[in-house]
Amino acid sequence: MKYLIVIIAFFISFPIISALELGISPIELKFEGNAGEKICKNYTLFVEDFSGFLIGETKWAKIGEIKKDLKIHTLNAESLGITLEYQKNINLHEKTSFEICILCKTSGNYHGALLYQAEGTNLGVGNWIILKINENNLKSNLQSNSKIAMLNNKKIKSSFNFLILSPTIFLFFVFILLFKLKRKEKQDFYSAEDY
Amino acid sequence: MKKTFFASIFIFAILLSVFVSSSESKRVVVNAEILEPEIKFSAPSSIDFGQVTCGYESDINKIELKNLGTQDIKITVSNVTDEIFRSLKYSTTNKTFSSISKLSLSLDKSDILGEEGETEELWLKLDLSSLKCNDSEMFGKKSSEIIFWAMPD
Repeated sequence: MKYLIVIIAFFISFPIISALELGISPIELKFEGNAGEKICKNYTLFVEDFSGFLIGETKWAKIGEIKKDLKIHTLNAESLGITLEYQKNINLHEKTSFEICILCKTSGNYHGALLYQAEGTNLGVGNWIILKINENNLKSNLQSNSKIAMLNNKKIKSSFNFLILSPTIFLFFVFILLFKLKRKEKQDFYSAEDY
Repeated sequence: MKKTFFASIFIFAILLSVFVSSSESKRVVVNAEILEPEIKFSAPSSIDFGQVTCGYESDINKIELKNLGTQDIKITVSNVTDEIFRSLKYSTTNKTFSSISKLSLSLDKSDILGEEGETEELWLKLDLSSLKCNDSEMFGKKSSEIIFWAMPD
């Protein structure tokens, strides 16, 4: 009995450190769209041996700075003009999918990290956010319209050239035909005279 | 002559049917479910250094960091703002200790799907040997959020 108590006391004297598992997928969330456009993607979170909340946040690198290094991701989304819609506090028990939506007003290439920390623990996981925002739709539409106009102009010019050239070619063939006909008539006339 | 003609046609038809059937038997439907790579990481939920005072070092705590996912990961630590826990030091060999803020570990995924990836043992100690406890607010039970972040490498 004494030995049993000693053994139990021995195990109790050690601090119980339980390990927990935390996961996220995909490893990268790629967003591409126009300025002012809302873009959404799905991601999955999973935990094991943990009951509690996962606290979410995003961290961003300076605009144009694209490097997979968490230390350079010090900015908040708001400071870059990025509006985010995602679940920041999640009471997770099983593998669950969530949606994250991004709206950015300024065009450019952004690099961020979506981070989730298990509340009250020393553990966190994250994935990278790659955000490519093109210029506003209206602007790009105008640009594409001007490009179409330029192409049309080129087409018109080429068809105009064809229109100028086509009667010339037609006349050339008519001239050859007439020449051949006249030659044949002459040949027929001389052959008739021979008779 | 007629018989030979019909016999040759018959043999040709048999050969053709054999060829067609043999080419059909080669058709195999191949299925696979391609899973999305995922980050999965295991670490202790908390680390307790017990009792320690300024001018001394705490006992060494050994922890294990495991890569359980299908992607190589990099472990870094968030900026520690607390003055006491800034003195936290780590070692991967239990010999030379460095500041926890410098921690950057790469853990490779497993070569075989479904098996555990690389595990790294980490020795941690709270080194208060050079810290002067002048402020009364420094005493008592303290806890700080030192987060081990696992990110895709």
